[in-house]
Amino acid sequence: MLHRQMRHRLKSLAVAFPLALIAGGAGAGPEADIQRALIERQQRADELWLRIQQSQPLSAPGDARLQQNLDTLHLQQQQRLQNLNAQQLRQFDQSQQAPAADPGAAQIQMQQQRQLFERDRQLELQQFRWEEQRARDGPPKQNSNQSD
Amino acid sequence: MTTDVDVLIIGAGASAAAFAWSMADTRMRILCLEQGDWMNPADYPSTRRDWEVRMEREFSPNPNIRRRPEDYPINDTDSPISLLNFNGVGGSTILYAAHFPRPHPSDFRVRSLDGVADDWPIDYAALAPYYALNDRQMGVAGLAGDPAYPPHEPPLPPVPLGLAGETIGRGFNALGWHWWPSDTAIATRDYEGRAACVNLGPCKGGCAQGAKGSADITYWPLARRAGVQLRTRCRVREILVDANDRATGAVYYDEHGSEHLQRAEVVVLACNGVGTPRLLLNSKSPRFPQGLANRSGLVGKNLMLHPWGMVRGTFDAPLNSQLGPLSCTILSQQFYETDRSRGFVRGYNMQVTRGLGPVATARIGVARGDIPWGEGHHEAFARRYGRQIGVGICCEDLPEESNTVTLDATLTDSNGIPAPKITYRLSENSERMLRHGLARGTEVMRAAGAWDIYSDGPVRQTGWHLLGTARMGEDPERSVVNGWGRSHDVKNLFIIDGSVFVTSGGVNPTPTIQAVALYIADAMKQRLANLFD
Repeated sequence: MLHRQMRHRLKSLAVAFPLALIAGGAGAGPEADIQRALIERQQRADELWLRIQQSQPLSAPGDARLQQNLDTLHLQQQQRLQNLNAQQLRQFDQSQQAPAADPGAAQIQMQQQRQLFERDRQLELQQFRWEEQRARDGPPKQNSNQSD
Repeated sequence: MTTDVDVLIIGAGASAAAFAWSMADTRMRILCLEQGDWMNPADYPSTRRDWEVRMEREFSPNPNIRRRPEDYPINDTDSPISLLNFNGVGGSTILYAAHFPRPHPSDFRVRSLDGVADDWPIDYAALAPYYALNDRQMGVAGLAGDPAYPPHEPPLPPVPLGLAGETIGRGFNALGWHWWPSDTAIATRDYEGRAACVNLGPCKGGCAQGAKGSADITYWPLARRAGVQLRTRCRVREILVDANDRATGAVYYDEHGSEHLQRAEVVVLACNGVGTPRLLLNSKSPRFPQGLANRSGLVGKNLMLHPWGMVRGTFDAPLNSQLGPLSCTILSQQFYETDRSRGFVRGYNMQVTRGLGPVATARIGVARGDIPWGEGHHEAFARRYGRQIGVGICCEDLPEESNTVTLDATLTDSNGIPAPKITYRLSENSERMLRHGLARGTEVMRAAGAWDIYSDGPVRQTGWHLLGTARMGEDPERSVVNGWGRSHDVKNLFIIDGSVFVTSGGVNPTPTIQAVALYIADAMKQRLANLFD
C-alpha cells in the first residue's frame, strides 16, 4: 500500500515538475527579457526627456541665484527618476520569481506591469514640471489677511 | 504683435541650433520660431515592439507619408527622388543616420580643379576650426588618420565595425581600395550627459537612448540655457521688408492658427534647401516681386540632392548585421576625386550600411522573390536576416539651374501657405557616376564573399540632402548670399542652411551645414558694429 502511494506521488511529481518548469519558463524566458529591455528603453527615453525639459531658459537671464536653485532641483529630479527606474526594475525582477502559470497570462501581466511603470514615471515627470514652475515663480506671495 | 528681438531665426534644425548656440554669447535677444515641436524620446519607435512599422508611418522621413500636423506637403512628382526631412526641434537630425563625414578640400574648388560649376567663396581651411568645434558639440566618434582627409581627431572612439564591417573591409582590402571607419555623430561612450550607444540599430527613427547627436539634445539645451528663446508650433508665412530693403520681421501662425507679427533687427533663415527658398518665394512684395532676396533670380534654382545608389549583399555566415548603427560602419573614398577616364567628373562616397530589421528583410525579400510567402518562408528569411550588408553610393550632384524648388500652384499646407514643387533630373554626369558606383559596389560585395547581390539606383526615398537653392558667392548676379551668408539684396537677412552650398560634395552634408552656420555666426559677431554696411 505504502509502495503504491509512493509510486503514485512520484508519478504526480513526474508530471508536475515539467509543468512547473514550463510555467517558470513563461516568465523568465525571452518574453521577460524583451519586456525588461523595453522597460529600460522607455526609462532611458524618459531620463532624456527630463533633461530636455530642464533646459528651458530663465525668464530673467542672469539671475544667478535662480539658476543655482534650478540646477540643484534638476540634479535632485534626475536622481529621483533614476531611483524610481531602479526600483521598477527590481520590482519587475521580483515579479519574475513567481510568474503566472499560463504563458499568455504571464505576458499580459508583464505588459500591464510595464504600462503601470510608464504611468508612474509620467506622474513623476508631471510632478517635476510643477516643482520647476514653482521654483521659477519664486516663493508664494504672503497674503496679508492670512493668519499663521 | 510680440516683443521685438535682435535676431529672429526661422527653423530649429541642425544649422539653427549651432548658430543660436554660437550667437548666444553676444547677449542679444535671440528668438527661434519652429513649426514643429520638441520630440519626446519616449515616443520614438524604438521604445515599442512595432518600431519598424512606425518608422514607415508617423516617423517616415517622407513628409508626404508622415503627414504630421507640422509637416508641409512637397510636390515631388516631377523628380525621380523623393524629398525627405523632419520638422521639429532638431530638424532632420532627429531621423538622420548620423553618418558624419567631412567633404574634401577639393570640394570647395571644383571650378578651378575640374572646370565645372563654381568655387565656393570659402574653403576647407576656413571651415576646419568649425568642423572641429562642431565635432565636439555633436559628439563625433571616429578614428584619426584617414589618409583621404587632412588630419583631424574625432573626440570619441569609433563605432565598432562589427562582423559586417570586418567582412566588407576584407573585400575592400582584396581590391586594394581605400576604406576607413566613418566619422559618426554617435556617442560611443557617455558624453556630455548623453548615454553611450547600445547598438540597437534603429537610429533613423530617433534615438531614445540619446546616443545619436541630434541637434535637439546637443546644441539646443546649451543655447536655451544661454538665453535663446525657442518658440515651437509657429509656422512662418512670410518675411516682411521696408522701403529700404530691410527685413523688419516675420508673419507667422501659432498652433491655433492665429496670425502674429514678430519684429526683428536681423532675420536668419534656417529652413533647409527646400523650406528656405519656399519662404523667400512666398515673401513677394512690390520691392521683391519675384520673391525676397531674389534679384539674381537664383532663389530655388540649382537644387542638389545627392543621387543615391544601394548595393546589398547576402553572406553565408551570420554577421549580426541587424545590430549596431544602421548606416555607420566604414566608408570608402576610393572613387571620390575626379578621374576623367571614368567618364565623369567629381566622384562619390561609398557608405557601408548594416543589415535591415526583420520586417524590412522579409518585405524586401518577398518583393524580390527571394523569400517565398508561406512554405519555406522561415528558412529563406533565416538565410538573409543578419547576414546582409549594404553599400550606399552617395554621388556628388553638380548644380543645374533647371533643378528647382518653386511654389506649387494649388498645393498648400494646413495654414494655406503654398507648398514647394520640385523639378529635378539627374544630369548625364550623375547618371554615369551612379552606374559606376553601383558596379564598384557590386565588385566589392563579390570580393567580400557575398552569394547574393542586388543593386538599385537612384533610390527614390533618399532625398535627404537639400542643397544649393540660395547659393553663396561674391557676385550678386550669380549668387543669393555673400561669403558669410548675408543676402546681397537685403542686408539684414542671412541664410545659414544647406541652401547656401555652391556645390554638394559627395558626402552627407550635416557636418558642413553646421560648420558653415558656425562660421557665419562668427563672421557676424566680428562685424557687429557694421553688420549691414
